[in-house]
Amino acid sequence: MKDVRPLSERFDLTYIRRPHLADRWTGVLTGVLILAALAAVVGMGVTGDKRVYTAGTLTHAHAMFGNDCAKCHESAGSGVLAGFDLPVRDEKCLACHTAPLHHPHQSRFVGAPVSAGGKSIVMSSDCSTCHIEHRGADVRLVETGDRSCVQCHEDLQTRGWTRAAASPIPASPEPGAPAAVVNSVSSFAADHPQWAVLRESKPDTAALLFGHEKHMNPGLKDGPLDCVSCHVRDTDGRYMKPITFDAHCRSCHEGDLKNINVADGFVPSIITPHASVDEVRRAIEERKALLVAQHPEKFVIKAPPSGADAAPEPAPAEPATRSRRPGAARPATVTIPDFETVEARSAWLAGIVTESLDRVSQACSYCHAVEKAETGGDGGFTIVPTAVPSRWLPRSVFDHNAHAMVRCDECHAAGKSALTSDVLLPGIDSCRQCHAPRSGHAGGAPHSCATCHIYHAPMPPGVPGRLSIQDLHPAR
Amino acid sequence: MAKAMPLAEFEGQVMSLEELKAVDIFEDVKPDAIEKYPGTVRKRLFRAGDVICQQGEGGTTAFYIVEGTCRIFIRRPDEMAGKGRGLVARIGRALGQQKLPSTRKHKAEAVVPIDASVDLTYGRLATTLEAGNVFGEMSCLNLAPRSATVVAETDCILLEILRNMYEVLQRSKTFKGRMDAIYRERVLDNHLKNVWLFDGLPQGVIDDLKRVGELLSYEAGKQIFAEGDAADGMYLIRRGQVRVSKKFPGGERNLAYLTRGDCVGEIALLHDTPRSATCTAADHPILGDPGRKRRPAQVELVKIRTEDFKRVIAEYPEVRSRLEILAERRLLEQAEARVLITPTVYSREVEDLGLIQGQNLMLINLEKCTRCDQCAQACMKAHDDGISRLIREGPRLDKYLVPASCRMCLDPVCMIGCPVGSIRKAKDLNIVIEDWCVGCGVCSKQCPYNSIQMHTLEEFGRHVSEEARRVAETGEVVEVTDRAVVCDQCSGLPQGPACVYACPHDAAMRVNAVEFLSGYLTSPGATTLPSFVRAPVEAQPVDEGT
Amino acid sequence: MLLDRKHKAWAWFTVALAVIGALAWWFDPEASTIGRGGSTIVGLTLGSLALLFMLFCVALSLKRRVPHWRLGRAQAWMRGHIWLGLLSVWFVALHGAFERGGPLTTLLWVLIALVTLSAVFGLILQQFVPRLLLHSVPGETLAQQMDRELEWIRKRGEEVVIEFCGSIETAQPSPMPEPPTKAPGMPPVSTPAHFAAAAPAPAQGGAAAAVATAPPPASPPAAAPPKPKGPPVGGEPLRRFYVDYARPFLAGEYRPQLASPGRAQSLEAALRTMCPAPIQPGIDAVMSLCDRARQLRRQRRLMRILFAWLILHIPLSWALIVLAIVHAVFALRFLQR
Repeated sequence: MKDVRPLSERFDLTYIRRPHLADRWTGVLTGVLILAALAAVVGMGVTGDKRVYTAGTLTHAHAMFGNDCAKCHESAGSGVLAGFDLPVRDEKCLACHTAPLHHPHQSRFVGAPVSAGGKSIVMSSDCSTCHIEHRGADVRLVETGDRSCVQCHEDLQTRGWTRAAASPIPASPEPGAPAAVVNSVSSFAADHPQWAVLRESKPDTAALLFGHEKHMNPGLKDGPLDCVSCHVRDTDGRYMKPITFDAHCRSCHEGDLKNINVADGFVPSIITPHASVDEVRRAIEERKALLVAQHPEKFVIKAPPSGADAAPEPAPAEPATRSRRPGAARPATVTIPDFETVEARSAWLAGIVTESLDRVSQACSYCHAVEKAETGGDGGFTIVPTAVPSRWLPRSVFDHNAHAMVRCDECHAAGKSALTSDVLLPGIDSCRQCHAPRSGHAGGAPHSCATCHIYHAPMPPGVPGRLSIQDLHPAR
Repeated sequence: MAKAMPLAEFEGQVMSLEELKAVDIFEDVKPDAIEKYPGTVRKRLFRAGDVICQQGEGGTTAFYIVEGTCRIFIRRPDEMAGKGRGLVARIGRALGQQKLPSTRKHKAEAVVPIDASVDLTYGRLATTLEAGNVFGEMSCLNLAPRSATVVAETDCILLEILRNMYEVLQRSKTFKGRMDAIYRERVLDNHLKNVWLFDGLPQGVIDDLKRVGELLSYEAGKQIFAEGDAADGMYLIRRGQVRVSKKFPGGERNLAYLTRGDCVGEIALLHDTPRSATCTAADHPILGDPGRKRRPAQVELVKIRTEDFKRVIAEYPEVRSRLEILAERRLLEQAEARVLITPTVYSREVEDLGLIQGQNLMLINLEKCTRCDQCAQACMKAHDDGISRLIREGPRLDKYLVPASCRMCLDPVCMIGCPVGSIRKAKDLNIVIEDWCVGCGVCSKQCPYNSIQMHTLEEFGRHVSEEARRVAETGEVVEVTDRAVVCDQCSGLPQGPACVYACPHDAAMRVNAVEFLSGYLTSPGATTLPSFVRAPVEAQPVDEGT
Repeated sequence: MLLDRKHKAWAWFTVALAVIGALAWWFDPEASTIGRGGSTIVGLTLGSLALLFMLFCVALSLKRRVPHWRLGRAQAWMRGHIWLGLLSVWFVALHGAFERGGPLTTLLWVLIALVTLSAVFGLILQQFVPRLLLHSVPGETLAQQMDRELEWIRKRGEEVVIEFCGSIETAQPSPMPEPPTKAPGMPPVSTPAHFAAAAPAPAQGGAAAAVATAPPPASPPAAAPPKPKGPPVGGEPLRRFYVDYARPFLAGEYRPQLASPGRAQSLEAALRTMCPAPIQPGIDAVMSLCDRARQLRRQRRLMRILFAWLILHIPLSWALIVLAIVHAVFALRFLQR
């Protein structure tokens, strides 16, 4: 049954002016939501709460500035959009950090000088092109990505080297000069050059006679040594503590020190101190003084007998043997002559010092390079400073702790090294076994520029830096 | 002989035979005709200021003024909907977006035909009726609603006449002579000036034409001229309805229904082409009482013969060339318009489906339509009166809904019966309702498809001025009435029908029903339409916009 | 909008742009320094385009206010809305490098997700719910007129029952016992017992049973002088049915017996057996009114489903656009390149 009345009676023809089915609710909710959104924005603007606008979490170190955008962002201050535009300004980073310029000859990213410690130090500029915040709390800002470095180092000649036109990058190094700057590096795995020291086949310049092979030989008396017997990581675990005689050699090589035996049998001998030559001399002199003090009668000047008739009788020889009590001084093998003159006595005394020194120097030369004094003839000698190089890669950092899972001999071929001059630093290929892009089961360890290199130069010695990148780089 | 009729019961004093015969128009009416219908003429007395009848109310009688003068006027909602004052409306105007006007401006001399012996003009919607005038004839004969308000200016004596007596009166020569005289004196001038061809002609020409015009009468159903006949003159319609039709392959099609004040065949005055359509005298519809018996209507025309016209024009040579140019242009326009809407397939069987009438039928694909009402919203907003001509309700054709919206019928029966001739076809052949619509509702009832709705004036937005509620020149405050509203096919809008333009889901379309259904009927599952069926009738700007 | 062949151009365009955007994002030259995301030129471009697309999508809401302005066909806007909206989601994902970002951007993600999901849900609904409405609600009417229609149905129901049963509230006098109107041997119909309380007991297989259990007639036999024209007798079951079931159902209460067409039909069949021939048109009328009310309710349910998602989609998309603009402004302020 249908309503068959005419349309105008069935319908209210003005219906079209009233809201449609969903329009009322939609309109109300739209108004409410827009107002809520605007109110929230305005409210946050009024209270100054800017945390909501952050593009991503700040790193832990900067999280305390989360609500204070002005700590890093500030208007660049010119033009119509001055107040609108808020980039990150270098001065804001430098307020807390020092970031000295990477290289005095770079042409880009050169910032303003900052005075510190009475010096004017040029800082790097455009910090935020490489150190990008707001990417999450656990991002490490020092890890800037290879592109930051490669953008210049891929073709240093044309990009980034100020003296490009005037003087090109020095090609090959002069002897003794620091290694030349390499012109083109794009990645560690691909074209990073071999270490300079290996590239130029420089020897280890340590002045010490030492052969790893002998010490690690299984036939060594008292058992062979292994790496950790002597090489111990420092407190940071990055590099090795220096080798010292007392800590590492004395236990076996004390015997090689020989004794200072100024007057055999008269004064007990002491082990030669492993110290400077002056100290050894002092020890000898002290023995000598002891000798004189303990046997003064031997050092009395005896006048020759009067009457010149009698032929001077030689001093009666000491009986060749004397019974020797245990613990007693050895029967003297040195005969102390009679001294008729003071000069003779002084000369004899000086002589035993020289003799002792001479004997000591022979002992020293077991390991050290000994240089006898040319003049003087007082037995003096100098020991060439051992100068064992402690850092082989001065322009990068290394962390032995990070490599604790690797056996020493996987990188250092010490067991086969007989000569001191052998450089046991592993070559780049050894590093590339792991520090390369992952392929199959090889590679995968970090291999970006920032893993080993620090862009910012260190502050000059004695000048304090603030939260410098050196402080913050994981491998110093 | 008729059996005794019971005394008609209605207001007024019953007039005796002698009293009636004393009235001039009953002079030559036979007494037994009067006695046949006792009590069908009553004397009514009105004081000055009495309202005799109201525009829009029902009526069954005609009035003849014996003594006194009456004022007759119609209300027209002036400035009906006005310009939008909101910000959005202003921005729209600045951007050149237009709303379609719901009222069209006309010249002050434009004829507003009313149901009386005189007509009104657009500029002056009131006039005086003296003794000897008649009004309410259509209400009497066809039960049409009163087309105007009549108020007694002085104390009056009126005769109120029922249909049966009025038909007797119409056959009286005195009466006819009186009506003809009034027509020639007071109305013909206006009618002639409203023929587009005679627009701006000097008054002398009009006067001459008035003299040569012939008053003719045709009974409803008689053919006035046939398509292909030699053209011998033009016809002005003085009273009644005329149907213009044309032959097409498969049958005859009604092009228009013309009414009082319209002219037909005017090109014949200047060109010697045969008649391009057939013109037949038509009957008015009887509303409310289909079984009512009555005589066929008499359609009265004024004929101006070609040779008479040429003679008159010969004295005004400069006028002739201008007229010829006008005629040429008009011929071209009409040829174009006819081409656009000529169907290529037409069959009488298919015409039984009411849909086939639709030359620009709106269909809504119910599988796509989400019932969002954007179409009706767009219709409402595209018109400055804030009324939607589209109602999304109607019969269904498979998956299509045929909503209530003008479908530009092949046979525009809505045009039949308008008492004030306000329903017309505009330049693009879309139906428009002029703003002197009196709200009688005839067209709404005539339309078989619910496409014309009556709306009360208050719905037309907030902008109805106070003036609209007053009578022009009388200062009386009267009540608002209804007005008919019909879809105008958005002719004048460059983008075409707003409903189709605004449908976001590709569900609304306007098709030529014959094309659409012929494809449909041959392959019931077909969903492809000829590409041009969605093209709107080429629009030309209509008068002035908002 | 139905996704049909006309979407092909837009779909291909969207896919092409999506692929180009993805390639540009993947091969972003600044990816290794700044990292893929909103700060690179590619990222900024993708973000700006996404915002433009979203502004276009929101502009649809504004365009709807002026459907008569010549701004392009509504279908083109709708297709653009769908495809550019989807593309903007993809561009936003690339622009943000699939990360949450900070609090504001996380909220934007949530809003985008809700807006897109509600949109996709709505689009899916539009593929089949209109067809469902078309086939299951033949008596569909305008949504805003439904209340008027239901009002009319209620009134009409009252009129019909009064016409056929005399009055609604008071019981009719019971009529003469009539021979069973259906053939013996028909299967018994289960009917609520109280329908038959004041009527002759429904004939369940035997005229004798009916006659035996019928209460004595209260009205005089038919040989009485002609009664004034009143409602036909025998309408009590209809009246009871109307009072207990149809009227509450038409008023909006739930009545399982009328809730589905099948059950209503069996109830109707039972009712017909209990009422004499003159009452049958009344039953026709009441049942068809119930059917119409059922259809209208179904229409209301379906239309609510069809429009409910808009209540989520539109407000959230406005909130999204406001916050997206805020995000754009602040991100550009603090942009570091």
